[in-house]
Amino acid sequence: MNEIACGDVIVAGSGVSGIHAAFPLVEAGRTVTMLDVGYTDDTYASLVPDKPFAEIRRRDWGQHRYLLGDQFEGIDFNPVGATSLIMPPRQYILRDPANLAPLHAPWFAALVSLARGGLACSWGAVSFPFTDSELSRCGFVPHEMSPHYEAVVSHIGVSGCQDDDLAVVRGSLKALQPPLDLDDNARAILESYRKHRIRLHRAGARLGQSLMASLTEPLDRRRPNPYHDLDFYSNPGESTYRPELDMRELMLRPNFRYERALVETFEEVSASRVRVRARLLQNNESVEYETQAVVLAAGALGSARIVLRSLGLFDVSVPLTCNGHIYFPSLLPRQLGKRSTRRRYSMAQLTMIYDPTRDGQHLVQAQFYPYGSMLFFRLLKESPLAYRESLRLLKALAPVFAVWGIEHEDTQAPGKFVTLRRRGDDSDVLEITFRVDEDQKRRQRLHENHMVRLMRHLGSWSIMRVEPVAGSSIHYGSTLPFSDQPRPLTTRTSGRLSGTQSVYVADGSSFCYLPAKGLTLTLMANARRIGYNVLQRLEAK
Amino acid sequence: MRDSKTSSVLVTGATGFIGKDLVSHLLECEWRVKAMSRNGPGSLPLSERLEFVQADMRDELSLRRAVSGVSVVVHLAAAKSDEADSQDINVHGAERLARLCLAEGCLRLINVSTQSVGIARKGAYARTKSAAEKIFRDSELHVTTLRPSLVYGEEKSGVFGVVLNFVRRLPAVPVLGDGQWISAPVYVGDVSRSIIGCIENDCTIGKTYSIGGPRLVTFDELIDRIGAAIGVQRRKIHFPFALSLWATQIITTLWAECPITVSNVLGSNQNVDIDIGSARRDFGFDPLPLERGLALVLGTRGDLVDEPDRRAAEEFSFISRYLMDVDPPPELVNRYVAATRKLLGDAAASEWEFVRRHPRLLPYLDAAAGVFSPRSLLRNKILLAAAILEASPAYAEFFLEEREGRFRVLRVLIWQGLRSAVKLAVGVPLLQLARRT
Repeated sequence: MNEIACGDVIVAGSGVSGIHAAFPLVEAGRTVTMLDVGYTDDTYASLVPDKPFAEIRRRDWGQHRYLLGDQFEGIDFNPVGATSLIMPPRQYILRDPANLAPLHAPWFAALVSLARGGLACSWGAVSFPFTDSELSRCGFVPHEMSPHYEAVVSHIGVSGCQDDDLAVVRGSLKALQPPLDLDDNARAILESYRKHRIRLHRAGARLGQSLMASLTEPLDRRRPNPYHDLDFYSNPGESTYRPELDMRELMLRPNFRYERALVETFEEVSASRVRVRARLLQNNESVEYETQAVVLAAGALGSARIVLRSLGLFDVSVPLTCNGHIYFPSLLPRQLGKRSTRRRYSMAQLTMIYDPTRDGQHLVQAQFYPYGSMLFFRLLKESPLAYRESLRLLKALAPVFAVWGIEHEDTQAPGKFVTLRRRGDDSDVLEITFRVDEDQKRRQRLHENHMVRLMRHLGSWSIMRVEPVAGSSIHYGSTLPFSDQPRPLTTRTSGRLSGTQSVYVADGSSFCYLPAKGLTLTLMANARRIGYNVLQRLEAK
Repeated sequence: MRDSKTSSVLVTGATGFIGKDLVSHLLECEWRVKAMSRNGPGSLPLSERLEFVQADMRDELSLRRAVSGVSVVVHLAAAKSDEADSQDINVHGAERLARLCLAEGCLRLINVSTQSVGIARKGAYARTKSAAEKIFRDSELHVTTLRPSLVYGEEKSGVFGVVLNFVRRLPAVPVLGDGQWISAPVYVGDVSRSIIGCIENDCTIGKTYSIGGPRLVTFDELIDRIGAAIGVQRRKIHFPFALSLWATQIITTLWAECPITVSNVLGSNQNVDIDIGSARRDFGFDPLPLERGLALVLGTRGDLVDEPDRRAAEEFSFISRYLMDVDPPPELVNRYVAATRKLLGDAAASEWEFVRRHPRLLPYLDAAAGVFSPRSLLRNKILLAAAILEASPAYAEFFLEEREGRFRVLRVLIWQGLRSAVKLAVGVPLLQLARRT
């Protein structure tokens, strides 16, 4: 086995957590080595023309390649699931040809990404910070997070309204760009909300434009969103934040090294020496690195795997949380026959936040999405009518069709856990058990029904309820939750793994619970915070 | 030969039958293309080397914009039917184009004419195109004139499109004339290649070439060949030439959109000399034989040797007809075949076998399966076909959203809803039957 002495810090994983933890360290002049499997897309990225959706549909004779995929991977006969929103150009993020991250999860759609940039390569870009109470429940000290939120927001570029009705149910952010232009349907809903505002507030709901990590003003060399309605396929002008932007930036630094290797275990040899064992992708050889500190950022499932394996804790369960996620395809009959501008982006337009307990403790969140660019055939699958008639109905109703996606919070519970099991051939597999208890399901159903009624007030009629299999929200957390006690398999508030001196957890593993919000922005802010904590510790030595 | 990386070719009539094909071929050969049409860009391919310019042969100003900055013009734009503005577009348009080319310093022009200029009794089309030939020849431009015979390809209009449609749908094919008219049907891709051949070979300047397929066939023979290519045999009903001409004259006065024109009747009843020898010599013209060209156009899968692949190709054509009343081009057929192989493998189901035997019952079985077995092979096959059709510019319009009035939407809802209900009622017992057999 080769042994390599390797600078100050090793970061495991190149997702948003790894990147944002690495940044402060690299900037302070520390040598950082990022170990990552790092699959990339070398087929599709250059195929999508920098033109509006409608135009390429009419004129690009190669469109089937990125709409359906060269291997037709974009055509899925199964019910809506975790990968339904990942179009062929982005499916490389789920590749695992060598089965490097074996999972056993029969009833749970666990997505693990070994791609460079991780799951955020297909991030929906909704960027709501957690509220103070949500942060506290996650295990954070709220005021510690706010500078990091601000720094991340101005770094990645987030657009949205500074002070709309949602400001009180989200943390405040100063560095916002002006909001993106809404499409016609979203604008109608927002207008209708303004009319019925008092009533909706009384019912516990607030509505506003989604905060989006997509630009409306140039930022560095990035261009504002061109409204091509192709956000699920491409990212012209890099208007939407993607991890690869920062990866490119990091790679230019002389004190940053990127190596294609899968981290297997770590071992602390002394208070300031950690040995990391990894497998090199190019020749499948094992190598050992020695470093002062390790930052785990392989995702809630990946980091749990590394920790459990390193500590030899097979057959031991750690908790898992994952937001519940439901779609409500809807029609907006009032919009029938109205003129449309057709200029739009394809990601979330509006966010509705519903506060069932009226104390801000258990928010439920819904997002309003346009549908057009996802193609008719994906929708056709859900129709119970003959396909010929369905096609004609869809064509007539498409302009007034939109989708609400509702997200629920998730807390740790006895039925939801992850266990590392040994397999015969000296390898192991991560086993996921995820049973949502009936009481929670009933409560969620109640909230959904209530929200669907409120949506109807706003002129949006839900036509069906599509419940993807558990895990489809692709938000995982709590495998190594924060704790102020030095209990094993938990993370200290500083980000240090309990029982270690220099192993840090920078990803969602440490979130004690998942509020009903996208995690990505908070993952970045937390990773940045931990990056600084690691730096502080290195400097103290 | 010109430096294709820097100079650019103007194609007039670029969204027409030959124009579309030519633009793709030019782009493939690395030319920069300026595509001109009086309508929008239609389904022209997207490319950095393609610029679209909207211009009209009757409008000097727009035409000047089109001609400026190009080094070669391929002139395809023409009034095809006997419409009133034939004279204005075909003749005066040619004068304008020739003048502007000289003024803008673009001296090379390929004029795509028609074999009909050689016939004795000329309709408006042959007359005006022949006048245009003379205008270009007499100008100081470096002109090559091409006279294609009957051109066939993926196109619904024109003589070939109409005949194909008849052979597909009618038990007996009406023939205007005695059926002994001789042509050399040529594949549209070969016409494009001949145009590029002329652009790239300056020895063609000042010459006129006949462009046709390698063999001469009579009209009756052509019908038989098309029938053979799609696997049917059709009787032919011959209408005497004089009667046909007279009837066409009456119909076209009443119905301006009529797919057959007086010029068509005249052109397809008088023989002309078609000799492609000089084209072979001067720029290596080598057209496809009719059987190969027809197989290419009709998607008759001579190339699909595998039984399952052939079956998949057949399925795709009846599903496409059911879904959208279209006959998809071979490119999409191949894609469906590949997708079937990849996604559905050799899955089998008794109800699908039943559909294969009775494709006409597909609508009813689809309706019933939608309710009773939404994820069945039958539904998946149709869904797959829909996905393949959707992801192609050929049918994009059908799948793009379009705002319509409330009442129209309401009418669609009621009508399609009713149809679904009726189909479901018929389909339920049929589905039972299909499963049992």
